[in-house]
Amino acid sequence: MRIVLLCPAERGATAVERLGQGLRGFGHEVDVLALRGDQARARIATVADRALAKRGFVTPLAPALPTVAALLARSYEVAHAFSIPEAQAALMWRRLRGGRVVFTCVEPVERARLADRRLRLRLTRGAYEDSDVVTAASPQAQAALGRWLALDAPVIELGDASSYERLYRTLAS
Amino acid sequence: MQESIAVSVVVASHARPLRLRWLLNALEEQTLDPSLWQVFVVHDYEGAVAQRVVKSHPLYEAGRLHEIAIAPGTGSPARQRNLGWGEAAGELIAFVDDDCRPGSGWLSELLEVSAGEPGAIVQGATRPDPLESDILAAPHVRTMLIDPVGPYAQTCNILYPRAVLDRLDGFDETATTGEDVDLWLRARALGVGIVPAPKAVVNHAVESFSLPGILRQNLKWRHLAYLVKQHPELRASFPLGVFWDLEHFWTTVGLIGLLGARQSPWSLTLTAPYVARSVLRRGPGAGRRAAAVAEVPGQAVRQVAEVVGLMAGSVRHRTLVL
Repeated sequence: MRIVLLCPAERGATAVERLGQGLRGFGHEVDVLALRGDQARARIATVADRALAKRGFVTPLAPALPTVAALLARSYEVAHAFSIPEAQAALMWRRLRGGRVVFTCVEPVERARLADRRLRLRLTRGAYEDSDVVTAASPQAQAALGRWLALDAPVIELGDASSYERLYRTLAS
Repeated sequence: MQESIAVSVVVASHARPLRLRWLLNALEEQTLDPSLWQVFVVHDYEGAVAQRVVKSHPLYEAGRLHEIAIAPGTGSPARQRNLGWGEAAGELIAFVDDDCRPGSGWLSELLEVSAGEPGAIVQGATRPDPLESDILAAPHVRTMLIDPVGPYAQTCNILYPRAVLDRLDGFDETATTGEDVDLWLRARALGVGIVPAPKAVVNHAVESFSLPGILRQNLKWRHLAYLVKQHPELRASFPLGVFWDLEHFWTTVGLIGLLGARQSPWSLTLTAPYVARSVLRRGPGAGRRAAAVAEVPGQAVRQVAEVVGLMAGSVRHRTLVL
């Protein structure tokens, strides 16, 4: 299978890299995309996001398009996101190209950050409700998903490549 | 257990299951002794949503949350609240909306004030949710700010003695909007008083809409004419006894100015008060004024749509309210 892991810029990036290595061990083609590391894109994104932030929008919104472009550049079967912006990009990719989207909640969601900015709630709900599968990276993340989003997500730790490998195969079949 | 229930919380919910979940979480955190209160949620969600949002909640599992499910599309705020308080065990009924987040002391504060004023309606304080205050930067926002006692007794945060609801036969189910105002005005006509509970705080959602979205959201206000027909005493607070508020008055004046511009360009001066008020809408400061100026066209469309909607409602209900 051709799999892309959309690596977040924040905590969890190292674990996602290790997941990629583990999945390669099963013979899959795995790309780990960390687009926010691109400096040129980061500068454009910062300018746009500053303007959006003044009007109360959640940021970053701007990196979504470069991520979608990168996803469309190759023919992946599964896109696995670990944060809301990457999940939104993956869902956009799925609408354009097909494929499956897995979204893993890494950090426990907090009420204070679910509806604090314009579009935050819509994007959050979209990521959790429209993805093909949602998993939680820890029991704490699972409990928070249950409490604040009324979602029942299985716990699969980030390093558990074999469980994710089985999950991808189930989705692809 | 039923005999010890002092207050029943009644919530009418429609099209906001996630907000309802957050409300239930806030109710779970109430400091009031759990044996003294219960919750009734009256909703029209499909089974899977109800299971996920309501029946999986710890309050439901503890037997303190009761749900009344009605067929989708058959509800209204009035009907759903009537169904709720009709089943409730408490002699006091606290109403809160599904897009609200009560503070942890909400119920105990309402009860404390009620105990000092038996038989009175108790209105708490409602404010835009501080967790969502950044959204106030949006041009079209829906939220609530009530410093009790306000004139409208909205059901986002209010407590009624059951005896009062019984005397009034509950909410008027023929009212499309303003059913909470109607309930309060009928209670007032019977001599029932209303007292403030400023420490009983409810945080109201702050939601932003696109221009088409806010126009759709505000369509229901055209039925305010029905409320005014039932309660003509409301006109005492209306500018010229006709306009719901000053915004509508100046919008109408501005609209007349625009329409008259074909006959005489001087009539455009009638738009000046509206524009001046609009520019100051966001308060002082160059940045805020610039934002307000940029928003004038959208705000004008929204206000004109409200006035036109009320015109249509006036025709339907045969009483002039703009």
